[in-house]
Amino acid sequence: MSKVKTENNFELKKFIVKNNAVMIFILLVVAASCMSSNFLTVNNIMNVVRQQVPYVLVAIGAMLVMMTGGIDLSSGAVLGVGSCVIALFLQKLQITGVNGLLVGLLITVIVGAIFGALSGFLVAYCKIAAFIATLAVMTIAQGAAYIATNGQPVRLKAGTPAADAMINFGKGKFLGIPLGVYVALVFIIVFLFIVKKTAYGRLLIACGSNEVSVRLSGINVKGYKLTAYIIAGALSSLAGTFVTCRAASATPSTTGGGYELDAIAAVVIGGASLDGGKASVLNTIIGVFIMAIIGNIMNLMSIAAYPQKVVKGVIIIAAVLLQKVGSRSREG
Amino acid sequence: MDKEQYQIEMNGITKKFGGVTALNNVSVKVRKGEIHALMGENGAGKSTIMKILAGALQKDSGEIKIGGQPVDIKTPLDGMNQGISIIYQELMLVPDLSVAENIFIDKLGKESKLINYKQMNQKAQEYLDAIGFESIRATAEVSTLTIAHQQIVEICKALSRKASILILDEPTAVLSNQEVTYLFQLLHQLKREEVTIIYISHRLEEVLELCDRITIMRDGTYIETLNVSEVTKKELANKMVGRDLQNYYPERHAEIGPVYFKAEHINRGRKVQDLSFEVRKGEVLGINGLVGAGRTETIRAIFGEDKRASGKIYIDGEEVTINSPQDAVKHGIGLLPEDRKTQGVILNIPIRNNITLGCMKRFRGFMGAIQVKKESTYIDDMVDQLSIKVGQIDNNVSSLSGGNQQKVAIAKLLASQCRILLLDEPTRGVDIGAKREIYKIINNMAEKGFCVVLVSSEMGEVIGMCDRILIMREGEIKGELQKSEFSEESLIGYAMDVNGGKTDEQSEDRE
Repeated sequence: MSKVKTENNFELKKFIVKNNAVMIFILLVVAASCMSSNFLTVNNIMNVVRQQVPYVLVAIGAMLVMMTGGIDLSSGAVLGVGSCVIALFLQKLQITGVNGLLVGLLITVIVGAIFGALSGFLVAYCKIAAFIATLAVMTIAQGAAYIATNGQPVRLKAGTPAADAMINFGKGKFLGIPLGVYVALVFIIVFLFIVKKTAYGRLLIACGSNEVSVRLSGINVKGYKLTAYIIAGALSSLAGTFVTCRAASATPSTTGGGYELDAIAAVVIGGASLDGGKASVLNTIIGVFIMAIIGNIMNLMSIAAYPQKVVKGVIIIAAVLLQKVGSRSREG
Repeated sequence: MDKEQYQIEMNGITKKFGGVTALNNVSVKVRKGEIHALMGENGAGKSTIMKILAGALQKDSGEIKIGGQPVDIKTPLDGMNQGISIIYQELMLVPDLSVAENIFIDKLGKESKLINYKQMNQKAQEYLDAIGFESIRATAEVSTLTIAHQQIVEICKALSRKASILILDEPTAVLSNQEVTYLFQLLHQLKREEVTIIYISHRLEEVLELCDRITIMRDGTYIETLNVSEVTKKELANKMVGRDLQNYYPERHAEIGPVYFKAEHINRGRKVQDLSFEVRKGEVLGINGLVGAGRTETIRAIFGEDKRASGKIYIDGEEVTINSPQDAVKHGIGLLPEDRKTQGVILNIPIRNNITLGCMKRFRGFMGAIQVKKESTYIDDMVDQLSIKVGQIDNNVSSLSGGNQQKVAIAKLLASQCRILLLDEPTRGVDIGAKREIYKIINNMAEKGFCVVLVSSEMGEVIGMCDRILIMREGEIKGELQKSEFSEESLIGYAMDVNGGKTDEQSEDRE
């Protein structure tokens, strides 16, 4: 191989590796539009985007936790809890007013934050491995949701201002874009700011890169870790309310919906390292949409749900392998 | 000189990492059965050229001859087949396996899937006995051995491969003086058995004592090869650095003030026993002692990183509560940890983020955003002050040389505005040039009236830098020397308890 060619190869490889999430995303969009004429329609795109709102919130939380070198398996279960809490609050307490709804949302977020705090406490202060601690919290959250609902779905009964507000929010659009998308956008911008521009974001990444060094600099590493889990819990629980809005009902089986795994996969596809210290909000969002498009195109092509899962798994492996090749070429 | 005499000839070796030339046309020739030192500052390319010889790295150009025959060494296995064994700075042992299993690790499962433990242990013990280390049991778990004994296991591993060429990369960096003596005895014995030894080090005394010939490298180039008998320590140092090293320890004009920091009756298990000392403003207090004497444990206990069983800490006459590094820094106590790469700096984040890690509050702007411009000015200032050689402050710390990484760690420490500085081996693994700059920084801090505690195992360093030295052994302060009493003999005397009759070996075995 001539020298010029290797250098070109190297540059191209570097570019692909650095932007591999974006590349995969673009390739998928192109492939999807070729495979189905329905893909690039406004209706379909709005549909995909709306479906991803809860995933975006969960994935941002998952990303924060992974930045600290941890992992949060409980986020899907906490999302289910959030979904049930808001529905139960409205139905059981017969809250009708919109003000009551806002209180309900606040309570939902707090409940999520408490689950997050439990995980964070176990990981940061009791030094239990994140995988185990959040696995336990996941189980607790699932059980709690079934206990609270008696295992029955909770329907939002239309007719009160509060329930109508929920249901309309789920259906509603502004300028042709689903309302939930605006909320997701706000969160994306807020967390972009936090991760990139604030001391908090910087220290969170530092904690994940080298915990000992940060601690010896006199920084409260445990506290930073704890907050990451709290935020993840709050975001997951809030994501649950979107699920309730869309379905106009809540069911405890949502706690086992596998949201956490899709979110973790999205973060990893976005180039984050499971060892912590490396993650990007934008790439995480791209990761979410990579997962979404794979599902969407297969739906459009009427591929059954089970093969879909196999393909998703393969894509995750491909994305991560690509990153590995990249990091090796950087070392050499 | 007749060419046939050389067992190893490396001619015109060049190696590049990306755009950086690590080795430029380097030639090393080693005679059979000699102990050949490879010397140079950090980054001179000593380890790189030896890794090429052992097959862990590949050369870009040049040739290697073993016993006069050109050879092509592409993998560590090729190297072993040529009889070359290398013992790295970081030992490559499996801590949870036994000594015997480690010695024969490359043969496990090769001859038969079932391991004949009795036979294996017996054979391993024979190797250990043969080199005079009967005290190491072949059945012992490696993690229970001292670092020195682990190194012996590495050497046995090399011998079991019938190594005729043994490369040791800075083997004494982690050893106590007593252990170094053992190691040297062993190397002399191997030399008598016609094993060729290449010894990488930058400790001058050691090389002059142990080796037959010395090859000096600097900045990836070959400088010269000398007979030990022809050279003095000072000449050697000058040749390594390429400049005169007069006044190696820079002068300090600090005014020593009143007592500012006081630690009383600090206890933490066996490693720290009822330890009390005080430090004055503008004073540099040295803590010296052998590896394992409890120096690091002492300052970690003071800093709150390790839990104290008891003990009080006073700053400016007032008692302070320190239960975590966070408390310590809040009270103005800063620590420069002993292991730069895993504790001192965060390698894979930018230099910027490292330096201001502990003082982010100062750059808090609108809605908690970091004021990047203000921060940059501050960092540029710091980089200037400490003369850190950085490309861009937004490059990762891993892009810097060891000395500059250490300066980043110091900058981080200073940025947190501590007035009591606990420096644990601040110049370990740092080249001579950077060492001197770090000494200047320490002087500068003392001149500003800071309290400096300098923990170091290098006697020259504590003698050259400190106003007062405490010597620790077995977790206790065994002696205190004022400047007028400084000498290597007195330090060794206290550190090894020469008069007490207890040898270092006995205390080791107890552990």
